[in-house]
Amino acid sequence: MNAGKQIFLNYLFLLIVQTICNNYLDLSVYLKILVFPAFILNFPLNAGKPVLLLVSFVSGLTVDLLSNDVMGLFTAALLPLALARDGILSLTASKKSFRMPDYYDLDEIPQQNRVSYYLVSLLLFHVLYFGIEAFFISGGSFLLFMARTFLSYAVNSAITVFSMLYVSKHF
Amino acid sequence: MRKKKNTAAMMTPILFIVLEFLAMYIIAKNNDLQKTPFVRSVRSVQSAFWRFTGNVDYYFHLEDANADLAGENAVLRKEIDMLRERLLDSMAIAPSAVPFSEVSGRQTFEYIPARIIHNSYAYKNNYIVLNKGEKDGVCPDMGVITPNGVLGVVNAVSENACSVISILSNEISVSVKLEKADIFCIMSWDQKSSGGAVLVDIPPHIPVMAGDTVLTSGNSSVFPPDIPLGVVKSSKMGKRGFLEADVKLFENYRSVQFVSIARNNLKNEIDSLTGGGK
Repeated sequence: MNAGKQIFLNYLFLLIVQTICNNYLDLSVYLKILVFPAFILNFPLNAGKPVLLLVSFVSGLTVDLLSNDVMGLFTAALLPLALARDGILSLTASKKSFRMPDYYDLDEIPQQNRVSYYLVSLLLFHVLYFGIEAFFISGGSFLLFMARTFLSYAVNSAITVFSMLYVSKHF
Repeated sequence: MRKKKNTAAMMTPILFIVLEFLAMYIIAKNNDLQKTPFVRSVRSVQSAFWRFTGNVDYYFHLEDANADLAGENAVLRKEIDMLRERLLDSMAIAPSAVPFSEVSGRQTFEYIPARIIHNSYAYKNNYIVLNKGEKDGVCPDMGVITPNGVLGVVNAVSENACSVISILSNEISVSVKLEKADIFCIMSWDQKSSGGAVLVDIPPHIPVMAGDTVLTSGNSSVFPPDIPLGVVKSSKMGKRGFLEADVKLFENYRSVQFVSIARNNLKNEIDSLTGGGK
């Protein structure tokens, strides 16, 4: 399968999963399932930053449009993640194992470094997502923001890391 | 090659700022964008899908729905009997004072029965989709009530469906009154569970008792007055020197299926007098 087709299928799959989670999975006020950032985290590393930013904007908007939530929220949190992605990857991967632009494939990065990359990136995304929601859109208590951010972060990180490292290998 | 890389490096921050600004602008204009033709078309497609999944869900909850309706019928029947008795009493005292036709002709609110086809209750801003739209006479800013409280305010309307900003959202608050304390205040969602709300800005000299019933005040043109919403659980002194009270809501927003959209026949008149405020 060519790379473009693979990327589009990834996008479509994560968009469907995220839309189902947004519309049918009301678990708790403290927990929101956010799996779509995996699309940006797994987007080819050799893509230029402007391309990645544009892809983040368009894909984020489609998630917003289908989620029946506040429009633009997902996009606003996804863009900084796209901007910081390469920086996070450089920080979390050891210098021996990863030197930009020598590696263009995430699969070549050691598993431990890859997990760190997902965890740091998702932390950034969750803080931004719930921060924008709490402090820019509706105003809320700091405690509630912390509870929502860290509970969702823990669950979403577990889902993302598990699916990226183990499930995706079988497809 | 180097020049091309430099251009990309320069372009990135500018592009990021532009796109982030755009995203923030979309957030700020969320309510207006929901009414644009493009978003309305997307919502129409979504509502058709939700209608289908809602029907499946509805089928599996028919038993509960019937029990709720039977309970509500019993309460309404009792209320009709009580009102009939009162009317007869008042007519016995002054038979020509208020003719029945005049009483019924002054109805401020009319109700459009609707069914929830998509519900959310666990997010910070929850939206609900109902199966009634423009065709049925639904307009934005109409209130939506449930058998045991209020659901929210109509936000956007398509031909066959409408989107409602839930009371379980930070975007709306309801003008309420306390039955025993006889005081008006504002109620908003407590953001913790689908069954809790808070009353704010209660003057500190008002004795707010646990168990006092919270009713809609009728001060706005959106909701009819005297709809019981919940009971006061506890009260405490807030940060700004006003009392705050925790409320347990009567309605179970997780399972509610049938609602009524309240159309205020005097809304335009009231809004023209109050400057269009809700």
